[in-house]
Amino acid sequence: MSPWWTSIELGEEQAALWRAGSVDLWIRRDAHEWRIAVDRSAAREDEEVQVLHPADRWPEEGAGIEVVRFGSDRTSPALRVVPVLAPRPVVCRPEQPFRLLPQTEVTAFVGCPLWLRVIAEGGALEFEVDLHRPSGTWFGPDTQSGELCFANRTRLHLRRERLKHSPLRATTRLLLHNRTDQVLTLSQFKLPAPSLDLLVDSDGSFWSQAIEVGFERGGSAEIEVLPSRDPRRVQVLSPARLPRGHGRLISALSHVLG
Amino acid sequence: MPDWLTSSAELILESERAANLGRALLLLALGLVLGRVLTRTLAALAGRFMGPARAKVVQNMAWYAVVFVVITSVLRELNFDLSVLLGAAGVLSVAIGFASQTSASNVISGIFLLVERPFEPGDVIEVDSVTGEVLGIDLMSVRLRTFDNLFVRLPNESLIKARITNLSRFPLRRVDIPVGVSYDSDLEHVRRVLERIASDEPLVLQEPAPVFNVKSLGDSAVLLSFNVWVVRDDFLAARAKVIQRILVAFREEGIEIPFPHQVEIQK
Repeated sequence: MSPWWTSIELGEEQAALWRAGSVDLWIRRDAHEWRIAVDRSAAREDEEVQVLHPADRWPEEGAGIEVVRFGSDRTSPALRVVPVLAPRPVVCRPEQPFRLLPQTEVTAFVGCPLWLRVIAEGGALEFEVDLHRPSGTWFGPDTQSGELCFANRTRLHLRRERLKHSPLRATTRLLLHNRTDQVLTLSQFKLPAPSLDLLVDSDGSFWSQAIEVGFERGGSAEIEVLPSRDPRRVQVLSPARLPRGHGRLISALSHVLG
Repeated sequence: MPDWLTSSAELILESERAANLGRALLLLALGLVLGRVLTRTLAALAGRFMGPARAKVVQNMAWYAVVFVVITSVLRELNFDLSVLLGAAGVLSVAIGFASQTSASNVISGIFLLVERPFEPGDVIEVDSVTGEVLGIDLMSVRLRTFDNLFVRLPNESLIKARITNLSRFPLRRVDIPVGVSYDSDLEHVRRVLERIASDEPLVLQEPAPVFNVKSLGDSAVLLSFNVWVVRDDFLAARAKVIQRILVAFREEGIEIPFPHQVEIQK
């Protein structure tokens, strides 16, 4: 069976439905119009994504259902719905603040929220739906300067098994090096999600590119996006939203840890 | 004096006048064209440092100066006695000065506003009881568009004296929601419900963290304040959504919000 993010063809006056957690994403193609409906009212325990193609009905448009329409002189049948990483950085926190001892390194894992991106008309039509309704959070020294981010609902863990498996999240591996001579308190971490590729492995699990962060003497942090360990087992599903320069990025420690 | 001499002198005088007039016209045309080029260049340079609105004001001031110099030069070219004119202008300027105190005050206040920069075009400001978006800043006045789409002109003089609140200066705003609950309510329970509301509402920021405070014991309710932080542009939508959520959640959780009742007793 082909994975749910593969391209499909939608006939005229046909609709398809993607069920992903509490989100129902309906897409309908007419001769001159694409219609997308998002219903967030579903209460499902099962988070596996299901695709109903063609869907046998169209939801009753009304309260609680967000409908978006795109007009075109002639619609074409190719349609793809792919997962993508967050459009803003994601702030992750450990369950309790933990301290990283001097001159040590640890590997941590965190689950990142995913969005669904609808692509049609050769990329001219793009529409995104968040799957988790993430809250915003402010990352900065005060309320005058900083950056608007998403607050991650999952916690940072040192063992991957402790992350609750979800097909609607991507896992990010973080290599944290404390290269200073002082104990470093890690109460939060800003993950640059828009600068990371979304990958899928041969098991169908989603990963973001791993990140290596070196905390240096003098209050700076060296951030590097790592290549995938085994390129034969993973493939890039959605490239990073933001262009990423080559090499390492040097940033103030406060820009990474708050 | 022979006639031919008189007529020759008149002819010379006429030709001199014509030459003066020609020079004056040339001076006027050249002065205005060059002045326009000069002021535009100045505005372009100023725009790099102080933004388009202030650059426009600088351009206008420079233009008025250029026009004054050109007109003075043209009048001198036409052999007007400028000392008489300036003397008259001196007397006139005293009279005008008395009459235009407010305008002068507005201009000086405008210059202070341009230097101090308490707001920019596009910002939303509150001055006294008027709130609106700044459309433009001129030497004499600031133009606002209120949220009910009214055009308001505020003289600069009044702005210098007034308390101006810039609602757009910082990226975040705090929404303060006063809440009253009955004296029977469990305040810890109320706190948990409000924290859940803040956590569930996507428009409410998780950091800076929401704040719950017991403010006072009112006549008929325990008065609380619930403060949440939101992105500036979401202020109105977030406030409405949080209040709606409070009403729904309090109803579901059995938390009573007391309100005045009127009982009519007929005897």
